[in-house]
Amino acid sequence: MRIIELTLQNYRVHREVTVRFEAGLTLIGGPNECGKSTIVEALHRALFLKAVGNTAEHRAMTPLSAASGPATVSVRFHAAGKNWTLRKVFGGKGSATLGADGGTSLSGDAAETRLATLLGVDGPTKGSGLQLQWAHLWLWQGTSGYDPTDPEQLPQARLTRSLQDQAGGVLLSSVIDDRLIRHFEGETSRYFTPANGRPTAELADAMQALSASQERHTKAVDRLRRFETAIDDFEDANRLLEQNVASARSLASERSQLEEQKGQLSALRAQEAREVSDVEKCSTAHADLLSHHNAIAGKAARLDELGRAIKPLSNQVSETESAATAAQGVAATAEETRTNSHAVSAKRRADYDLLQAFIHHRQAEGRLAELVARETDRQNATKELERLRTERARLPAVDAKILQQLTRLESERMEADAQVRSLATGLELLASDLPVHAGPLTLKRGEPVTITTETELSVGSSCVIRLRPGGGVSLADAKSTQAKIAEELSSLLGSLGLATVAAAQEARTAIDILTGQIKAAEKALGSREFSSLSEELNAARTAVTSAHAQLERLRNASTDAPLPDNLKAAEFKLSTARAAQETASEEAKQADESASSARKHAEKLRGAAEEQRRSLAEKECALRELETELRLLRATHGDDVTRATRLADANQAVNAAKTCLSQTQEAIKALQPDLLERTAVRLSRAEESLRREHTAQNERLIAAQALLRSDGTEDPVRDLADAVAALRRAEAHHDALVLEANSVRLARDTFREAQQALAERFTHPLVERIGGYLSCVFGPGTKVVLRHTPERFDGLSLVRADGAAIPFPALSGGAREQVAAAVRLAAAEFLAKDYDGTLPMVFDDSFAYSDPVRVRDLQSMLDLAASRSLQVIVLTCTPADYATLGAHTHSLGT
Amino acid sequence: MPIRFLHTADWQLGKPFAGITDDTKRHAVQAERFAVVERITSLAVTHDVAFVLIAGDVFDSPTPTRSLVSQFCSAVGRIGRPTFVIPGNHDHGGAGGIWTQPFFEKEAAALAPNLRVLLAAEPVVVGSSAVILPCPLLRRHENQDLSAWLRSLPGLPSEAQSLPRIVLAHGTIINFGGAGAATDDDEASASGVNHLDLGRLSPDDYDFIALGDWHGHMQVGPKAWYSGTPEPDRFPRGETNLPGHVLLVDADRGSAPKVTPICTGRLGWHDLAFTFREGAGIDAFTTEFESLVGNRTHSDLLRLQLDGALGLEEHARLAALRETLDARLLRLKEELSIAVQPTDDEVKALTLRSGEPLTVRVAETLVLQTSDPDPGRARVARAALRSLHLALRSAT
Repeated sequence: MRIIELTLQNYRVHREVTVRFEAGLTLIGGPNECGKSTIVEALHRALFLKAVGNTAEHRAMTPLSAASGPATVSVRFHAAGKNWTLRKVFGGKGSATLGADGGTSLSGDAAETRLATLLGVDGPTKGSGLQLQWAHLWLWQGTSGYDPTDPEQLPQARLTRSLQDQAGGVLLSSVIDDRLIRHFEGETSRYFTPANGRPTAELADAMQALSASQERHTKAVDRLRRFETAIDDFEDANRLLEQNVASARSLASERSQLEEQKGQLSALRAQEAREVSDVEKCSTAHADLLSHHNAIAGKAARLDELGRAIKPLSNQVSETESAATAAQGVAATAEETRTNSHAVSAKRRADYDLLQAFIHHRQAEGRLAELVARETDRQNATKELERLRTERARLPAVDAKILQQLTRLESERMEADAQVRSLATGLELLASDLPVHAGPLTLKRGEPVTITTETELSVGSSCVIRLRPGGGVSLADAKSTQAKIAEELSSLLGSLGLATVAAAQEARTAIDILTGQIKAAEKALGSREFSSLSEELNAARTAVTSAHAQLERLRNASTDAPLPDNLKAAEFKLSTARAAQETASEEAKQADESASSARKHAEKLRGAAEEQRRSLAEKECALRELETELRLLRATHGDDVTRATRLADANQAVNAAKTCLSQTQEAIKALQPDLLERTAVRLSRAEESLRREHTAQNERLIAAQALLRSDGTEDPVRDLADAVAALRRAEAHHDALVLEANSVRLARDTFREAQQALAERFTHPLVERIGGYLSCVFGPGTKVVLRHTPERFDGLSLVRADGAAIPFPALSGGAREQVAAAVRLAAAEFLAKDYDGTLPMVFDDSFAYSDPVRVRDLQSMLDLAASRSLQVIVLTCTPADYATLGAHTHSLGT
Repeated sequence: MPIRFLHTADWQLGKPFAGITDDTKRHAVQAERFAVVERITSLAVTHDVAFVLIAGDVFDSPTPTRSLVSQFCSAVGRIGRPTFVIPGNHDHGGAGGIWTQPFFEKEAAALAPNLRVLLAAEPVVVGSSAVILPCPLLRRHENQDLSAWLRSLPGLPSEAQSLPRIVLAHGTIINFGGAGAATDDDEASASGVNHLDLGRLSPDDYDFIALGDWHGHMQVGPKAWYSGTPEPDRFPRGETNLPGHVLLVDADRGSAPKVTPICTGRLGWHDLAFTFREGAGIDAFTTEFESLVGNRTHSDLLRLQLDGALGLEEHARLAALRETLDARLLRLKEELSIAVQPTDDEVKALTLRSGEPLTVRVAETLVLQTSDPDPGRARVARAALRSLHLALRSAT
């Protein structure tokens, strides 16, 4: 079905307007308020609104100026293989006529019914629901962003049928399928909440029951374990108590043995103390005796020793004194030698210094003479320079420029002379009878004349011949030039005081030679040799004076030294004098050391002799004191024999006491007193430990008994058996329920997946078509996912080339318009099969949210639709945006 | 002088039978353990025995409740003849055990004056009829041979020298091959803690050895017997196990004892293993079950081990049958490892349904998932397939 032409009369703002529609693309452009939407509204009303009526829609279409007549819409369209003409006059007295070309015309209800059949709708609409007629093909202003799969926007049943036809009659589901789906949905919802798939109360209860059983089981196990642990504790404590008693018995026996040994030890210790005292007493007596005896013997020995020591000492004193006197003599000799050596050394030094002063003096004089000679040279050079400068000043001032000028003038003059010479005419009288005059000159035979100017040659008086040398005035010019150059040359030479150019050249050469000589002389004078000559001369004179003064001073000091004749001899003599001076100095030094050493030796010997004398005196004094002391001691403690007898008796008593003590100590050692102490500590520790262990095990026993005492109200063994059985039952119930729940959920999920797979197979051609349209706008690879339940299309998402899926409601306003248009166009393609393969699609300002670039892309989508036999009608207030659509355009003015 | 007595053991009073879910059935099985004591009392009267020996494990736990103790004392009191009991491994005589608890001693004195609990390893002369040589278990963990004291018998009073000597002991003498700790209280487990080395006793010193611990009755030496439990309390383990008896013993000093086992058990404890395979399906299994239990109700307990493979429909039938069995039996203990795989026909029925495109697709997917290498996922897939099968059956 497609629209061919539409004519409106008295419809809202339109008095009368006719619009022709192309089979493919038609663009209706015009500014806002110009009545674009009114045109497609009128078309829609003509197709779907019953002509006769007085609804709000009828009233709304009446023009503002009611006098013009009722709103009338005529439509030419193609449907069911024919072209039809429909005319509807709207209003209470409205009418409808419909006729096919070449056929009879229907009117009234018959026309309305036939029209509805052609359009595939239930019947003419009287008002309500009018806007929804062909809502999938008619994008009213503001509806372009609606979900195109919404049942109000899409004739789902019709499209489903069409898709089924396309897919060879694929069945989505059967009655039994649906029943099973409902069954498994219901069963699954028994166990899992539909909202989020969490377990429902039934499943949760089983889980809770299982958990409670596990808890009960754990408690029962714990209780029985406590009971059994108490039994083990009781038995263990009992066993340990028995062991404890045995240990206590063994400890007591050990303790009594220990006490007996301790008694023995105590008795022995008392005896030991007494014997120690005896030993001490005897030892003290013996020690006293021995001390006196030893003191006397010591002093006697000391006396002998002193007597032996004194004699050699007095000999030694006299020997040392002799040696000291001899050493003093040696020291005096050495001092004399030292004095002589120093005198010789001073003389050698003076000779050396004199020679050195002489050499310095001579060298200073030499240097002064050299400088005086250079001064003379300098004065001569200055005189020569002044002479050269004078000589150069006398020469004419011919510089290179003037010489060049002279040379040029000379050359030019020679050229001018040559030219004049070449222009002159020579006359020679060979023979004449008559006087021949050339100008003022009279020619004579054999005397050639040269004329250079215009001259009249008269022979006699009748013959006058004018001669013009050179034939013209050029000879005169040449001569003038010659004269000018000669004058200029002469003037220049005159200014220089020269006669010829050759003289000038000569002068120039002389100047150059002199200038070179002057420069050389100046350079020589300015050299370093002369620059500081004056200072050097002064310094040299001072040096000579100073060296002379030094020489004179040393000469006066030195009486006998003859000075050499010349410098060379002096330098030779100086080296000899240096060696002599060094030798003398070395000898003086050695003499110093010898003298010092001899003096020290003499002093040392004198000190030693003194010390020996003092020591001898001390020893003699001590000897006398010792003799007195010894005499006194012997008188007090007896003589040597008496003392020896007493000493032997005391020693015997000490030995006897020590033997007794040693025996007692052996007995003590045999008892191992340390071990006895340690044993006592160990036994106390063990007894304490046993006491503690006994108490602990007793407490443990009592505690276990308390736990084990039953009042017959509980049986933990039986309780555990019950808990185990209950747990097993709960597990079984839980497992069975979980299996049931999971199995029905699996069945449900599998049904859902199967359903989805079938739906995808079924919707695949539609999805493919939509993708084709979307590619025009979003690029290749863009597609939609379209869910389909057995009842309806449900859920549209856009999938970009990168795989991201965005549900339709989440798309931007622009994208929604574009996706909706693609879905509607694709759906229209399938639906068009019932309408001779074509259907109109109306887009009334449907891309308000799309930017200009997208609108351009959309045009290729609309063009694709037209190429697939859809009749695309676009209304826009910006026709320029659709310039590339290539549509037939109908423009409306304001 | 010959003497006649009853030898019994392992009454396991108070055993919880916790695996039985149904309270009534559980109470019935528990009550049967006292009912058999009544039958023992009748036998004691009928055979006019001198006394009754209980060789340990009277109680199932060392801490029976007061109520259970009263019930026991009352039952023993009704026997009316001297009754000697020693502690066993379940009701040991050590710390925390029942035998020295004040409330036990009080109830025993009040209700069972004929009861004597033997808690010392020493000879007990029973009037002028016999000498009892008890080996009581006095500790929870006993690793000594409790019969060791009998290797050199202490002197007996002269008047007892000619009396028959009867050893009363509880423990294992051979390895019965218990499988360690049982998972349920209705399964056998090896006690294995207290071992009796009877081979080291002089055979001529004793005239009968009355043993407890092993629940089937069994002669284990020329004079040594296990009486077994008088009422079975667990599923059988091997053909030689014959629980549910007491032993009537005639003994005399120096001669071999005469032992007569008398059946006292009432409840049937059965073990049935069945493998489903082609030609052995639900019908074959039903026949086998009926041959074992017949039409009896509430007097049998069955451990059912099923494996093999079943189709969806057969599996549904099995589920229904199991419900029936569970109702009839006192206990149905199931160990199932049945592979539920749809038969080819069932697969076809699910997947060749041209009218139900979705169901076919789902069935195909689930059939594939039943072969998932992850056993958990495969199990869920099988269950889902069963659910689909059932749902489809009710939907069509």
